Amino acid sequence: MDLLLLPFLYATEDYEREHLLSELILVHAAPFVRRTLRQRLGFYVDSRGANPHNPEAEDLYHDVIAKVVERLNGLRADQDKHPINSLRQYVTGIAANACADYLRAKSPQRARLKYRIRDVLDRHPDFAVWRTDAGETVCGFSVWRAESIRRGAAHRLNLLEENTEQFKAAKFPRMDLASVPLTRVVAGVFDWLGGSVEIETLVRLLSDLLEVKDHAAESLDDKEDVTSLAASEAVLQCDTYDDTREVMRLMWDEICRLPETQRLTICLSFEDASGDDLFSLMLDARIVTLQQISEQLDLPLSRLVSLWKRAPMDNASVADELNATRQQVYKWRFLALKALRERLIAVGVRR
Amino acid sequence: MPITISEHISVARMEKFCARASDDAELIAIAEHLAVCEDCQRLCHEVFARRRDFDPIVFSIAPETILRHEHLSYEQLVSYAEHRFERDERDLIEMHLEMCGRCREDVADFLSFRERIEPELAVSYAPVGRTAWRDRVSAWWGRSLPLGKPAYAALTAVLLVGVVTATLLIYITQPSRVSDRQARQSSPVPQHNASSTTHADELSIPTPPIITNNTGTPANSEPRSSGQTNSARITTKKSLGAITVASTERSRQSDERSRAADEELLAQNIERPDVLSQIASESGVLRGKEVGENSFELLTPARAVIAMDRPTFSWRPLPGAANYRVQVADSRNREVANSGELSSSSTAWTPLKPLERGEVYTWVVTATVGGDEVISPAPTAAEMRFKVLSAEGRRELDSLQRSTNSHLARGIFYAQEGMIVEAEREFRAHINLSPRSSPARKLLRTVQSWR
Repeated sequence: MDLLLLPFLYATEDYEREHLLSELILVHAAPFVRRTLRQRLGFYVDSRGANPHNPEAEDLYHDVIAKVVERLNGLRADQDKHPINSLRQYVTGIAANACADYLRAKSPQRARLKYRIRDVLDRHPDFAVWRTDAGETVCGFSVWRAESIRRGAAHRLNLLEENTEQFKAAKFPRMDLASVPLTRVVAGVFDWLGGSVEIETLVRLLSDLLEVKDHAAESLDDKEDVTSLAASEAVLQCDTYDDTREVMRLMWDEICRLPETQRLTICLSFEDASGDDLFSLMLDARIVTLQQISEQLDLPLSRLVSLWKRAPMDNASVADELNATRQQVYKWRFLALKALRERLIAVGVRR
Repeated sequence: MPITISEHISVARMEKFCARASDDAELIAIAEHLAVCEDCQRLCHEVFARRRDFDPIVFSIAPETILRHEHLSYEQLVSYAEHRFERDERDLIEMHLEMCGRCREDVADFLSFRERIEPELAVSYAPVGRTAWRDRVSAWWGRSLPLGKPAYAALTAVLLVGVVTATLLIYITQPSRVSDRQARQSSPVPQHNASSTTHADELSIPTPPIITNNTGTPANSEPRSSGQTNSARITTKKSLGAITVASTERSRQSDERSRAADEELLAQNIERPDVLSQIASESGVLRGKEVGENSFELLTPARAVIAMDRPTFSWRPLPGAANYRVQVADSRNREVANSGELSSSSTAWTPLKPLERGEVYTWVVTATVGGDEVISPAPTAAEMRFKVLSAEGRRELDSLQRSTNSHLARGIFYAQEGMIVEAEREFRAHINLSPRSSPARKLLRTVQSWR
């Protein structure tokens, strides 16, 4: 059994047990859950598990934490049968499985169908997407928007969902829908419904009608160079710890020389291959202290601490923080990385 | 109230600090203490090291690592397809695509779909009988050429004449006007001049837009399919209203005849471009062993001239295929693009680097089934060739698309460049708007005969 768990397992008072469980989760479990979600899915949540730009990331994070809590609570009765030898590895495993389940449900073929549908709705002059007075985003024939045609009747929708064959027989008799242009199928569905429909509902209907199926889900990591990072030209693997520190010091000096927007962007969004943020890496390697970072970035320590708790951030969160657009953040990251790499090459850093 | 730390940080507190699990005040206090305490800095380092199991620090600034989760959104797919990225952003996207197979497939699928669906965007699906009243009016008036609807044009003229005449008669027969007319009868009658607007009342009346329009678009342009009305001014004189209208009608008809003549001339001057012979079907040299019934079809680009220099190659899936590989060769049989191994679910691929414009290429797809290779096209089948529109042609096309909405003009350009599918699409769109346009029908038949 992992020694970290022993105080919790042997606590006798409820208050003490709750406090120790909270410590285990906050200090030893949650950081690894966050890291795994970042590594596997590119999902970013802060130390509270929040990301206003990605509700799916929040849901997944809290699901994993809930599973860990449930498992730890069950461990007290079950510790002899199923001991946890390493809490960190155990938590990482739960998070990795949750990521795999998420990918399996994600359905890339359906995502591509949705892109096609949106393209058709955006480009065909007879189709349109609009927001209703109730704030819903719906789609349908363009003339329906002009005439404020209400939503398609629920019974027509139910009929289509429950019996696609009836629809096919009525609208596309003896035809293979897969060979019918998507524009025509979309028009057929709109005609059948007689009113506007939410885009997600349309995607779901067309997925069923066109029998969109996925092969076994590929992990997003499968084709990525996660294992070949060592071969990447800008991976700095130095022979000694001192060499690593020297390069990181050089890197930090260069970061401080960047224009403010690029500097902040790279600081807030940077994560290394194991998912650590830049500030933690610099603290770990004893390059700078938080106080020094605060001075060199010209940020009050209180603000720096607040940012550190949320780092690394995704582009949308960085954009919010810097009051910029995502495109601008994208560009600043690129320019900052380019400058840093050029500087490393210029000083002859060994690969 | 800020916390002040006067003694060393405990291991438990340091662990919470490194995990960022403390509240802000505690983190600030510990940060301030660490700035001045070397012992606690060492403890901080130890806690971090323990958290990474004492593995070495690996520091990477490779964009490929940092960008590995920057998957393309729908909006980025559209920008990519329409070449709307700035250079820096495009570079980032390309970097991500080099390492993300799923996004590559998303891009390939999207580009291929957009190319296939293009002709369908001109097909109307507006529901019958439920068109907005504005659209109905616009559609009726908006049949672009009077040659298509001479009956409507004539009826319009007759109605206008009737309305104007009735108005004049009512006006003239008013008792207070009689003395005025008697006074005018002793004066010289103004000479009729169809173009004169002196003392004219101008009426703005919606007319079939072939007359002129207020937007200044070229005379051979068609209006948009809905929502756009064109108005022309028909000047009338109170005493000569009917004559003026009739004169205007005569000048409008002469414009129509002139346009029809231009179209006839254009239709006669279209010749089959040589490029179609360059990319025509020919059986090529045998590329490998004979294959049996196990084969699959290549879809696009197929014996065509294409505008994009990064086309999406698409094919039908071969059941049981473990993977695919696309290879593209130039006219000297040198390989210019290779997809590498693509997954079994792939049915499209777009090269990252553009092909040289103005060149003719051939392409094949090799599928691996049960350890055997199946090549398409089969060795005994015709080669799959295509040509990328030259740089000059591309510039002309871009200029044409910016300057006119005329389906006829675009169709003629496409026909001259050997882009048969696009030419047919444009001519059909023109015929949809002007069903009786014989030049367009003639052009369509001509282009279809080139297949």
